[in-house]
Amino acid sequence: MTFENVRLSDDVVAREVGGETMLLDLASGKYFSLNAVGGRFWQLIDSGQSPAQTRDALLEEFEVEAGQLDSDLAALIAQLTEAGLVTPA
Amino acid sequence: MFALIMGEPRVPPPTETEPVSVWRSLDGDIATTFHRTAEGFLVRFCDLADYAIDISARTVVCSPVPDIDPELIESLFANQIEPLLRTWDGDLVLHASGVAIDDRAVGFLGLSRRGKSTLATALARAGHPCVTDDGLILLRTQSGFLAEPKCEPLRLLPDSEAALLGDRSGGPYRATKARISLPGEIGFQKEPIALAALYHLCEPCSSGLKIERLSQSAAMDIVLKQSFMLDTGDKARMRAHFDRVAVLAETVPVFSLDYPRDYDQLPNVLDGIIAHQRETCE
Repeated sequence: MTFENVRLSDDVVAREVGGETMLLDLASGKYFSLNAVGGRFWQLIDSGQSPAQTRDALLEEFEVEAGQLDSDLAALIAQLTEAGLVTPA
Repeated sequence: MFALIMGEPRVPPPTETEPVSVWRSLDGDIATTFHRTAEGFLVRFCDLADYAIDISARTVVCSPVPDIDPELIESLFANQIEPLLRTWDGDLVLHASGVAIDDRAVGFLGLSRRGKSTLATALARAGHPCVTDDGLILLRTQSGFLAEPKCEPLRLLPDSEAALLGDRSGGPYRATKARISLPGEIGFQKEPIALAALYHLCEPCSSGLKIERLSQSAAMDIVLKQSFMLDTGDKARMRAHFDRVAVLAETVPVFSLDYPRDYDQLPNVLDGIIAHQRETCE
């Protein structure tokens, strides 16, 4: 999966709690937490932003180099994919 | 309310369905399995008893293994099955004991054998009414959460019983909890009471009492792990449960509680918890 075709699973419920985003996968009953950047990524994609728009928004909102952000997002998407929380669009 | 009906003792046969979820012992062995049935659910406590729940009829039929202690059947129903059924009806139930300190409830949650019942019993003997020994039922209101009291007999492991009761403890050697009788020594909370705080009994690491507030996300993680849920495959109920736990983590302070499991130090631990609770509520 690439950053261009990510899609959130319909079975995941997200809730922001104390600056982190908690995710519940209704299909498995497992839950996960995302830090501030991961949570914002999830929120933007969930609100209908395209992956490119999400990347641009994160670059504006957080003090991070583009290369570092791309690397972090790739790692995050790989983890979310492995956990079944995102699927190919 | 669900009614408990005693069925015929039998050796539980293999179930026809794979469990939808399991509870494991501290050793990692499967201790309890949950199965869906045409009428509702079958909860199997391995080597002990089956509880067949009929959701529509609101009945629970227990089929114990032969020669099991009837007290254990009642205890499993009161402390495990009834809390599970309350989650079906939309309440939040935690693996926690609770007492009332200055007219506010505090709960002690954690894994088995971490000291939940010992703390509740010791605090109750010190004059703080017992809310529950296990299965803390929380009712959500517009202003927070109420703890619903449950006047069930307290149950202790032999070492706690001996430490708390001294010469009055007794009975045959056993490795499991047993009811204790302390007429006139322990008061029970009568009415639902506002929940002020939760304490998570973590793995003992400190040589003294150590209390730290958890972040809201850490609190939510712990409460999710220490909460009852009858049907984890019911998406609507799981969604609602997740939301209730999030609101709890946002509105009720949750602390990690680390203390030495040394009965000689228990009085100091109790004093520290009471003082901490009073400071928190100021």
